[in-house]
Formats: sequence, C-alpha cells, structure tokens
Amino acid sequence: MLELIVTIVGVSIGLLLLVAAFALGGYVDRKHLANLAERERLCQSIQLSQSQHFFSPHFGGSPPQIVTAETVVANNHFKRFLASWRKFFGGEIKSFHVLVERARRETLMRLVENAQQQGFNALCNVRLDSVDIGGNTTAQGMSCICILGTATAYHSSTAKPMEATII
Amino acid sequence: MEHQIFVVNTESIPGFRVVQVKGIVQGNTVRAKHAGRDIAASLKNLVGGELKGYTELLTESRREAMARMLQQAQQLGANAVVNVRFTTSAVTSGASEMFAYGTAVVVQPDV
Repeated sequence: MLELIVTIVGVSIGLLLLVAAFALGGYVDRKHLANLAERERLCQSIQLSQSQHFFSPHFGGSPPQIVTAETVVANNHFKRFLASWRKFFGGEIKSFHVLVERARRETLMRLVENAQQQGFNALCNVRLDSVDIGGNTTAQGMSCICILGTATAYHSSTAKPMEATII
Repeated sequence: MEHQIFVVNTESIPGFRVVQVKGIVQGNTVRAKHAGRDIAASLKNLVGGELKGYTELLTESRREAMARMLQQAQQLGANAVVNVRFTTSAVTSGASEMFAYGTAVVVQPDV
C-alpha cells in the first residue's frame, strides 16, 4: 500500500514538473524569440561581415576596437525529456537545433548593440564559437549551450541597411 | 595606462602600419561561480532560457584574460595587439579556463 502511494506521488511530481516546464519554458522561449526579432529589426543598419577585411574604412574617428559578447542558454526540462526519447530513436533533435540558433542570434545581437553603443557602424571578422564551460555536457541533467562572440568594430563609409543575420 | 592600446581580432588596422612585431602575448584565467549560482542555474535549467550566472562568468573571465594579455603587451612596449583569439577549456565541473592570445605590435599612423 505504502509503496503504491510513494509511486503515485513520485509519478505525479514528475508529471507536474514536465507540465510546469512545458508551460513556463514555452513562455520564456516565445518571449525571447519575439525580443530577438524586434532587436534585429532595429539593428539592420550595421554592416556585418565575417571576413578579416575592413570594407571601406572611414578614417578620422576612433580606431577599430574588439567587441565581445557571450550567451549561455539551456533547454527546458520538457524539451530535454523529449530529446532523450529522440536520442533513443535517433534523428534530428529539433529543440536543440532551435536553441543553438537562438543562442547564436542573441550573441550576434549583443555584439551589434555593443558596437553601436560605442558609436561604430560596422563589424568585421565576426566569430561565433560554441564552448564547453564547466563540462556541462557531462554533468548529470545539466546541458546548456554557450556561445562566445568576437568581432572587430570600426567605422565604415559604406554601411548601408542590410540583413542583420549572417547565418 | 598612459595611452590606449588598440586591440582587434583582425590582422591589420586600417590607417595604421605595423612597424615592429613584439611577439605573442597571452593571458588566462580559471574562474568558478559560488555554489549558490550553480544551484540557481540548475533550477533555471527546469524552465530553460538564459543562465545569467554562467553568462556573467564568461564575461568576467574574458575581461580578466584580456587585461592580463594587455599587461604583457604594455611591458613589451607595444601599442597594439592584433589577431586576438580566445579559447576555453573545461578544467573541472563548474569552472572554466579562458585563454586570450594575440600578436603584440607597434603601429604608426599611415602617412
């Protein structure tokens, strides 16, 4: 009898966590995506390139400077639960694919905003690397995605409106 | 710092000419967050989204590594560091090493 109660309580706590993660996590994800879309719309005037070359640099202003940004995001409990099933059957894990892309977009936006705050209108040599902090890929139950962004900000005389995403 | 050191992750700086190469400069740091932050991060892992504590950790590490690299550049008498690269490695669970390196050079305004 006692064992049955313990099992029922355990299962219902597990289900409750999944439902809570589904509801709250979904809300957090949608909010972030909407926020990203809005910021990307506002930052379309910056010239982005991932080449080492400075496109038509404008002299006289402040010299080029390195800008950095980093983002660490995690998938919610519900999506990780689904991913574990996907790992059993194999195939593309869509939730992680979306999450990595989101982290990259966020890092890029931070680089752009960082450069704009300092008065620059162009970025070159944009690098977005994923890193492993604290062995997060091995720790039990924890999995997060860390993206490091590095770029050089400069003044360009040909900065014209263009797509804010490079990937 | 008496004068600003130019730091870029490109090979050259427009409007400037490299007149002397001083060599490779580097800086690294290993940092960890206090346990409270780790617990907060694992709770946040339920809902997902950004783990601010870890983002901050990376930002601080980067600043520290870059500061150490610049200190070396200054000792060598360079006024710019070009082609800066960052790498990280997981040292132990919850701590990460951030390594910054670049080439220290002396630049002069072109004409």
